[in-house]
Amino acid sequence: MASTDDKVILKSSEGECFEVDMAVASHLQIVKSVLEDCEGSSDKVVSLFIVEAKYVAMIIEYYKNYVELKEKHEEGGFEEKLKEFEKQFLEQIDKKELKGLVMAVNYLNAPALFDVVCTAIAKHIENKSVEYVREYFGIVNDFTAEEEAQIREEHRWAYDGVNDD
Amino acid sequence: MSASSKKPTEAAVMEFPQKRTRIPFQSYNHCRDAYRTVKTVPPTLPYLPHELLEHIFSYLPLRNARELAVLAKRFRKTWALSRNLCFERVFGRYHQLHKFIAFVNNSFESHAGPKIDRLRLNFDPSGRNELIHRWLAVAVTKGVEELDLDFYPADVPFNLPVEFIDVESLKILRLNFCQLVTYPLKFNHLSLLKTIVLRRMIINSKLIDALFSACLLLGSLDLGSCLGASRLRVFAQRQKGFRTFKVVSCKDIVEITLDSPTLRTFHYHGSVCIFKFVEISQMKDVMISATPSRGFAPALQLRNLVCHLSHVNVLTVSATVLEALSPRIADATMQEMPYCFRNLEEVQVYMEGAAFCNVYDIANFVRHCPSLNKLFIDLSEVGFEGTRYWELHQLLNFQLLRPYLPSLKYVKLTGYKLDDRFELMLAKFLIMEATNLEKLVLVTAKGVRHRIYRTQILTHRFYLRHWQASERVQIEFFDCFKDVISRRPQHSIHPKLWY
Repeated sequence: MASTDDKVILKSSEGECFEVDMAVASHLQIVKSVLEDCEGSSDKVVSLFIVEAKYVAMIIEYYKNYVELKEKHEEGGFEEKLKEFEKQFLEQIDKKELKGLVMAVNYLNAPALFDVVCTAIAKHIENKSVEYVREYFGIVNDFTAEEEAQIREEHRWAYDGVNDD
Repeated sequence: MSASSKKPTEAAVMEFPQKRTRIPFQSYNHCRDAYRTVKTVPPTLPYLPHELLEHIFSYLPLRNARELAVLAKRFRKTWALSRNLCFERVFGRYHQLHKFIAFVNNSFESHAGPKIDRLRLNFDPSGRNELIHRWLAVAVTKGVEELDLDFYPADVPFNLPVEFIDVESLKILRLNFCQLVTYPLKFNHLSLLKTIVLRRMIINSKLIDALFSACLLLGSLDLGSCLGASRLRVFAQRQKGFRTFKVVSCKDIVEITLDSPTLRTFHYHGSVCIFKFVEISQMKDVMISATPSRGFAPALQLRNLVCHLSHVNVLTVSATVLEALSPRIADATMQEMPYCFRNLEEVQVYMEGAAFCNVYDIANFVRHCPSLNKLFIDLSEVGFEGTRYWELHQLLNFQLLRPYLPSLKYVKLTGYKLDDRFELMLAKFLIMEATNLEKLVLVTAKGVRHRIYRTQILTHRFYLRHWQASERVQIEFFDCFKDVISRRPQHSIHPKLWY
C-alpha cells in the first residue's frame, strides 16, 4: 500500500484531478497544511478551488523536476541545473499566463516557484513603458495630468532607454 | 466614491456598506470597471492583487521601479521596496555627479523594504567614503546577497573596510578597484559566498588563503588585472563545489599552485608563469592564452603544463602554446614532444600574436587529439610566412603528416584569407585528412583587402571538393560580418575581451 500512501490527488477548479507524489506536493505549503489538518482520514484529495488545471499542471511539472534534479545532483551542481530547467520552463509559458501562474503559486504558497515567476514577470516588464505595464496588469491611472507630470519630473532620472512595447 | 464629496446624509451612510460589498476582493479594487461587479470567483483574466504587484515590482531594478511610480496613486511609493539597487555610471551619464549622489542617497534614505538582494555601485567615489559606508551599512543590515562595487572611474582605489563584505548573507561578491583596509585579514561570516570576482585589486596570498578558509561553498573565483600576488596558491580541498577558476592579466604572478579535486574550468590569460598542479583530475574545460614572451623558459613551462592537461575535454589555446609544442631540432634531428590529448573533443586556436607558428604546427597539434570533434581556428591578424626553416625542415614533414581523425565532424576557420596559399594549405590538409567531416565553414577576414570575389569562392570550392575525403562534407563560405548562423565555440569570448 506504500505506493498509494505517498500519493496525493490535487483537484483543479474545473474538477480535473492530478495524482502527485507526496514529495512533490509537500512543496506546496497549502497542500501540506491541509493534509496535516486531516491526518488520519483516508481520502487524500485536496481541492484547489481557484486554481485552473493548466496552472496546476505547470506547478506540478516544475516541482517534479525540482525534486528529480535535487536527487540527482545531491553533491553539487543542483542550482545550475535548476537554472537551466527554469529557463526552459519559463520559455514555454505565455506572458499572459504568467499572471495566472503567479496568482496560483501565491495561493498555493510555493516559495521557490513564486520567486522564479516573480523574477520572470519583473524581467518582462523591465524596460517597458508605463502604459504597457498599466495595460498588462490592468491598472487604472488615477492621477491627474499635472500630478503625473510632477511625479515623472521627480523620477526623471530614470527615463532613458525605455523600450516601446 | 462620491459619498465623501456630498454632505453625508443618512442615505449615503446607508449606501456605503452596500457599495463595499459589491467588491468581494478588497485588493482587486484597481481592476477595470468590468470586474467591479459581484463575483464569487476571481475573474478569468487574472488581475493581480496590489500586494502581489508590489512584491513583483520589488524585483525590478531601482531605475525601472522608480519609473513605475506614475502607474497609479497606490504605487507611488512602491519603488522604495525595490530589492535590486543598481546605480551605474551610464544611469547618470548626462547628469552631474553631485546630483547623482544625491539621488542615490535619497533612494537609500527612503528605502522601506525589508530586503536588499543586490547592490551595485559604479561611479567615482572619491571624497564620499563616509556616505558610501553608510549606504553599505544599510545594505548589510537588509541582508544583501549580491554586492557589486565598481569604483574603477576613480583615481585611487576605494578603501573598503572588511566588515562590509564579511557578511553572512552574501552570495556573490564583485569588487573592482577597491582596497581592503582591515588587518589582520580574517573573514568570519562568509559561509554562503559562492562567487568572487576581483578586478584591479591589490591581492596577496593572505587574502586568497583567508577567503578559502572562510568560504566553504565557494564555486568560482575570478581574478582580473589584480596586482600584488607573485605566488598564487589555491588550496581548495575543502570546497566541494569549487568549479571555476579564472586568472586574467595579473601581471605580478610568477607561479600558480592549484589543488582542487573538483575544479572543472580553468582559464588563464597573461604572460607565461609556472603552473603547479597538485590535484586537478576533474578538469574539463581549459583556456590557456599566453602572451608572447622571449626566451626558452616559457616554452618549457607551457610544455610542462600540457602534460598535466592531457585529460581535458574542451581546450582553447593561443599560438604561443602551439609554438611551445612544435617539434624542434635537437641533436641534429627533428624531435617531437610526446603528448596526447586523449579526451579532447573541442579545440579552439587563436593565431593572433604568433611569432613563428605556422600551418605545420597546427596540423601537428591536431594530430595529437585523436577524439577531436570540433575544431575552431581563428586566423585573423596573422600572416604565415614561408621562411627558410619551413622550406628546409617543415614542408616535407607537413606533406608526410597522416593524422588519424575519425571523429572530426566540424571545422571552422575564421579570418580566412582567400588569397593566402598557406591557409589554403591548412584547409586542404583538414579536408583531406578528416575522413568523416560533415562541415567546413570558412569565414573571411575583415578588412577591405580581403574582399570576397565570387570567382575566388568558386575556385576554392572547386579545389576543396576535389580534395575532400569525406563524401558528405558541406562547405560554407561566410562574410565576416554576416556570419551569425554558424556554430560558435564554447569559449566564445576572446580572452582579451573578458571585461
